[in-house]
Amino acid sequence: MITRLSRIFLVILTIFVGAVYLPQLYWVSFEPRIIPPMVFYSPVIQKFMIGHFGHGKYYFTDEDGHKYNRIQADHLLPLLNFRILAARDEMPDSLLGRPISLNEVHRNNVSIRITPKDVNPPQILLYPLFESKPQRLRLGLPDEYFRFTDRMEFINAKTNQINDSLTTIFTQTLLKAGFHFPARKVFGNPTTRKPYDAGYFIVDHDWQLFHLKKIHGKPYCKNVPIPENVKINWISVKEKELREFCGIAITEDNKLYMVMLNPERLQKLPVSDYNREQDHIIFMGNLFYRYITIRSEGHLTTYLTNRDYKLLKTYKEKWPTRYETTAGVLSAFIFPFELNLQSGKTYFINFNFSSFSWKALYLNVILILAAILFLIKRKFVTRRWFDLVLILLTGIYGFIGVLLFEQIE
Amino acid sequence: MVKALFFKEWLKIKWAYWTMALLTFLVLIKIGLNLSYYMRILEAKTFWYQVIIMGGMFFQDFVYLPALIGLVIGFTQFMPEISADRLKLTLHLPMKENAILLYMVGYGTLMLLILFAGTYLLFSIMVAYFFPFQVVKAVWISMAPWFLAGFVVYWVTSAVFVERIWLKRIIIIVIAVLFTETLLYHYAYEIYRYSIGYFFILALLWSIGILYTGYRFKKGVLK
Repeated sequence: MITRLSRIFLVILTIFVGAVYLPQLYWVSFEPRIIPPMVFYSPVIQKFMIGHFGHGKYYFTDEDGHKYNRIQADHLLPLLNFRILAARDEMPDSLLGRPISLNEVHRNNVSIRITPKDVNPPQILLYPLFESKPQRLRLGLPDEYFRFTDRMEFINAKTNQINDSLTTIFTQTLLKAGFHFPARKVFGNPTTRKPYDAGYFIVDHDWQLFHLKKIHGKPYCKNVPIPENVKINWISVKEKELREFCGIAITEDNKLYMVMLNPERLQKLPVSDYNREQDHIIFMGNLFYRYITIRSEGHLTTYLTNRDYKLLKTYKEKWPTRYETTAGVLSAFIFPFELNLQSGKTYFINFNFSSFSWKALYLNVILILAAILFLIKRKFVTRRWFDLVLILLTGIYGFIGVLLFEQIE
Repeated sequence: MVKALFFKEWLKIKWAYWTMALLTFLVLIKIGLNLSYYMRILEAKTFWYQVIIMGGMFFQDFVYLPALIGLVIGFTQFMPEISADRLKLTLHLPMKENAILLYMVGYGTLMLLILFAGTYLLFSIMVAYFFPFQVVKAVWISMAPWFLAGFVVYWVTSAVFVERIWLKRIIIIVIAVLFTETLLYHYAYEIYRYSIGYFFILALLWSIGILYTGYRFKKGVLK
């Protein structure tokens, strides 16, 4: 009995290895390159401009389908291409009846990209708290890293010991601001390569949001007002020259908010159909507009807003996914399912099964017949029902497993 | 009887085991020296930044080491059994054949477990000296699949040695190598946090692989 079990285990392991590597091999051999279009908005013609790049092409279409070459598009997207236009001395002095300067255009061009990988990545829950107003202006690493337990603890990197004075001061400040320990999540942008330091945003035990900074060695802490019932899942903190906002917050129910500064508050984005585990956020802003693109596999939606985040227009675009290409259609007939350990949507290794492909049943039945023929030849036909069911369910993987490890009498 | 069998197994792996323990110890010393070096040269706060924020894994020496240890112990334990078909004698001991094979593999597994647990303990103490608990925990979770790979390689080695037919050996080796590869990713901390349990169950399936090849050995299967 146990010997028979050991054989079944080997077959299962073969199915696992097959489901991981065979589709991988297939896609490495046949996967076509898919380049999703990019959506911009032209303040000149007041239309969305869709950029089609790659495969030797480089052109734009507007939302009505008119085609523009690259040079024409430069003039229709002057805020995006201000460097090129300025170099050619073709930059307009005013736009939408408002005089503009290059400096202003440059400072107001902002973009934030958030991929599914950026949200909830693996991380070690220790953070450096930068001095936000450094005396010599340059941001530098602090000697202490903080963590949250039932208080806010600062640990000196050199000694690996808790710094009691900092710990007490910051914990007291947080408590005074109404913070309830322990913290649920801590969000920051721990790098010195940024124009300034916005500090950290911390979600406490009661889902309240706090903004914490270190200014001249002293804590600055503020309870950020948030709409009722909003539970923040993730904040992507990105400090930009334009100190209007410092990041994008994603809630548990996949709503998006800008994290505004002066004063700190959350500004809702008029975006629906976002899923933080699947979709990319491409946020772009310029002197006149904000536009937020939510890109999934095979389709995107762009939401155009004014600078007060009032929705003006939306645009949707579709393109074939890899499963709609020839190679993809064919793969559904070959593999009953695929097992992806790395999904490209997260750093974590997971057992990501694709949904069962019913089209593969044709091949599975053929493989069952082949197996029966083969087993008859080897006089192994009795009590084979388990193997045959395995092939029906796991197709090519099970077939290989059953063939490689023959039955035990 | 079991005690005598264990003693026989110990005699076979004794030298290899101590060598592997020494090798592990040397690797621990190397990582320890590296740690103290970087703390001095880069300054503690910068080195912490490299490790904690940039995700620098300072213990990558451990990615393949357990697999190597599993391979060496498997080799020294089962190589003597197949030269001159000694395994046939072993299987003639007054015990069930499957039980003998399982005791042999069980003994090796136990010895690996002791070695690996000791490594984990010593390394945890070392990391805890330089870093807070959060890093120690990240190290534990990050290293777990690599040490699991050590057991898998050991179990596969035992099964492959008992198999007589070269074609079958190669088939098992190919599947095992591909499987082990799925355990050795090391591009970031804790990437197996949500899947290590499933991998553990799958890896356990290899542990009795020797019964299948052992059955073929007894039968004298020729293809």
